[in-house]
Amino acid sequence: MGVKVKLFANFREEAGEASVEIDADSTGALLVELAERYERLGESILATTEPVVTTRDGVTVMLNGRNIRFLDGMSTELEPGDTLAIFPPIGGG
Amino acid sequence: MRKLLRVDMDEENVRFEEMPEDYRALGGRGLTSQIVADEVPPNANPLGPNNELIFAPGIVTGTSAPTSGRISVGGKSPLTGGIKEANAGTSFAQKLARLGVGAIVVEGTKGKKNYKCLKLTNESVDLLDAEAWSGIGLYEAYEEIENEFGEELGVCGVGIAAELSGFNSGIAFNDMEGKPSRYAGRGGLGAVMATRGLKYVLVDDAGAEGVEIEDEATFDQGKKKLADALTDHDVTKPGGALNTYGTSVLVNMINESGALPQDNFSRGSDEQSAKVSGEKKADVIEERDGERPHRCSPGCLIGCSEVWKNEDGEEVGVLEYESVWSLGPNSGIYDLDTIGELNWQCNDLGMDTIEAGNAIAVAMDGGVKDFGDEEGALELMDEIREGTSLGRILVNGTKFTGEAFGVTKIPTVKGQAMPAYDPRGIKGIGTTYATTPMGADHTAGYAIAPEIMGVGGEADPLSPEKAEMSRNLQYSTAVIDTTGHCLFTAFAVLDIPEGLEGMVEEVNGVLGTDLTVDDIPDIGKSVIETERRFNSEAGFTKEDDRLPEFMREEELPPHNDVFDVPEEELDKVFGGLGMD
Repeated sequence: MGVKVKLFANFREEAGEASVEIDADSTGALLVELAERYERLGESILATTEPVVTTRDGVTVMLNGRNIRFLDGMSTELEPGDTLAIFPPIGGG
Repeated sequence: MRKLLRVDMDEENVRFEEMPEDYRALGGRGLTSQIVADEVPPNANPLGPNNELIFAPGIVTGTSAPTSGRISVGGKSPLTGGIKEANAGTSFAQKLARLGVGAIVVEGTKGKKNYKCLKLTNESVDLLDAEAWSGIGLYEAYEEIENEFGEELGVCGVGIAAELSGFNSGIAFNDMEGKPSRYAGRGGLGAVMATRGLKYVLVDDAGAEGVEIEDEATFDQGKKKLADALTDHDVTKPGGALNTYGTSVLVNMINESGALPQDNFSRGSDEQSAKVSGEKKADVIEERDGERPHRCSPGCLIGCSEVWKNEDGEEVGVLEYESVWSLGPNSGIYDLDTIGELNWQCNDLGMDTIEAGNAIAVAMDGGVKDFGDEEGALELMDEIREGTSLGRILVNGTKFTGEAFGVTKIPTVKGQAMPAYDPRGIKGIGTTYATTPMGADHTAGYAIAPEIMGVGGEADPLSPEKAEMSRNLQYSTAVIDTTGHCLFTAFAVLDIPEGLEGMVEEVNGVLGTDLTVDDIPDIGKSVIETERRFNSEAGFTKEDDRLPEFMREEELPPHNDVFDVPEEELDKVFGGLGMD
């Protein structure tokens, strides 16, 4: 069992999936793997992969419901069975 | 210069007045709140003869400023007992502004008289008999009014809920299909309108001169800057999330973050929430040939709205995030068709969906129906329609209903029900709920933007230090609500400084003023000070700037947080502003 990655809004269209499973130890590594598997999605999610992994403005990544910016960012460690949710820039009311 | 239309429902006469000098730089919420503060005794019975109902389009409403079709409605709220401003996006706002009307002030009482309809054209203002359109649903009434007067009118109406003097009766406005689906919903102003004896307001702007613009060059420059910001920002741009999925795109995000209240605020997420998400709704709208994107009013560049069609192909109107949540997951309901039907009922009866859904949920918590009982929820709407004793309880909103059925978990502040974000999981929005003069209101200072979306900054939703953030958001929101722009423009202007400059330049263009973005906090502070002073004189104290006890003590699964923002932090939001 790897990490369950949930995609939302237009990220689903870009991957052609709402949910995928990926094995990775850290959030940064997972996002790089995700981008390699789904190129178009990768371009929407990631701003840089070298020297560090960064996401585009407005992209939100949650680990088990917590925004990774308030955990360890891209170094946030992942365990099998974790859920990573990735959102494009979203508004609402 | 815009005029003030005073409607005396006792004498049944109408007269135009020159807009007082102190009001000339105001519109929207800034104007409705100032008039309420100046003319309504704070201790007035909200349904009695001394309350007033005020309509005011925004400062730039009716011009070509983008995304500015908003009208504010104000008065003393029968739900909160304090000052209220509710606003709606509708062409009615633009038509009224183009007729040169800056405010309509409705005063007096219904007494034993028939309900009236106020009709404004470029040539005349008349009070017509409205009994033919009373005691019926608003969808039918709007159709009959259209048959009688044509389809080009702006139509404002209150429904059966208002005729029952329900504390949860809202004020309906036409959408672009002429349906009663756009609402100045919160706080029971519908009952204020009905107890004045007014059921409908019709606006025909044919032949109107339009809104006066003092400085066209500055206005045009400002409008372009704002339009560029709106079409550039990822949230508001064409093809962005709002344009593609509507406001319900938030269902999945707030559910994932563990703060989407379920079963009367008893937990913060559920797997079934996905069934009523924006993504799911967009798919069904496409299958049924509904309409997405869609606009509430002409000139909007964002287009977050939609037309939901039910299984029989009938148009309901938009299903907003708040409505989907309150009539859905918070009531244990996870079916979009049922939610669509409940939303249609709210629109038809004339009620705010947030309050109506919360009232259903506390009724369920009190054993009137089970959580998730879809037929049961629809039966509760029938009770309101028939004006039964149970219906009269429900139409008075969440607190009234909860107390009638011995519920101790009543999610209200100042008597108004909470919207679709649990404050235990998102503490800045909780700080806004507690401290805004409006009662639990998410739009008053939308902390979700920095706390969840990363717009206008980034803040940890679980950090309790939110006084400064909530205050700043509440000040800038009061200003946006005064300009007549939709609050969603804030997503763009909070991140793109030229957009905010553009908004100020539009106002300067219309009014001939010389404001800068640095003036925004003071203007917002002044509006809120006026509102807090009214509330203070109506009997509110800092103890009313608090969340319900259960939210401090009961942990919210799945993250098991409580609302632990200290009272001192809540009191820091405004300090003693407006309270002597």
